[in-house]
Amino acid sequence: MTTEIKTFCYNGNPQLIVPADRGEFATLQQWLLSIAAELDMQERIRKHLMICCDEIFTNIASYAYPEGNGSVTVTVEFVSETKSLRVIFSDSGTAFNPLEISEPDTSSALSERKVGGLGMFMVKKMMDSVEYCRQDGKNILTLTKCLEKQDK
Amino acid sequence: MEVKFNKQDSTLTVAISGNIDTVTAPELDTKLQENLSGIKDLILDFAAVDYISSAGLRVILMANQQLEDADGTMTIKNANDDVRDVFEMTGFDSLLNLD
Repeated sequence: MTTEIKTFCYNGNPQLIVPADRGEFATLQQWLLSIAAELDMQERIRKHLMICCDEIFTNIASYAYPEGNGSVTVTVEFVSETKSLRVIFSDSGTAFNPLEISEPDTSSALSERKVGGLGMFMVKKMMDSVEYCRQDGKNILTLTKCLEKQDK
Repeated sequence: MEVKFNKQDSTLTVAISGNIDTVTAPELDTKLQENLSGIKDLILDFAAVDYISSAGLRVILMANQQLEDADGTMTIKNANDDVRDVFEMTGFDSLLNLD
């Protein structure tokens, strides 16, 4: 059986390209909300998706382009066979694998707590899989979430 | 995100609605900082908060620290189940006053 993959379009394009600036997350957010509505996504999965995309986008906006301006490309696909949504983030910035960020100590006192690493920690907990690769000078991070099963 | 303040003596209640995310968290931080002077008890009403990302957790962490430094308290009330899950997942639940 061939796996059918539906790629969602943004303004007629098969991907969204925005400046790597935190404020631009609002554009991605609106697009993801419309996709969530189209797929009739469970509320809890929708929230997890929004949180995880927020974390990844913020990482790219904060660290990928220390020298100046750059962009983020986001592709969203639905894989019918596995009933999974794939969100693929791509940037041409500094090579960086966020999966290598050390996990935060979630048991330390709040006053001693550092928030660094908490975002990726949540992404790994909330998504079914998170994959990173460096290809053609780009960081490519793929988040996958099955939309059918009860969310963890 | 919308933020409404209600101050009574040294108690400040902040009703937040919408998402506390990478776009809105800096705005929440600024608004809190403008209003925290002289406050001993800060109550964050999360009844209308949809979700919170780590950018929002950072703002909460800083506000909590400020209140602790001033021998005050910070309480979060009416958080929905999904927001509570985020607090649990990150270990914030055992350290914050959740009402």
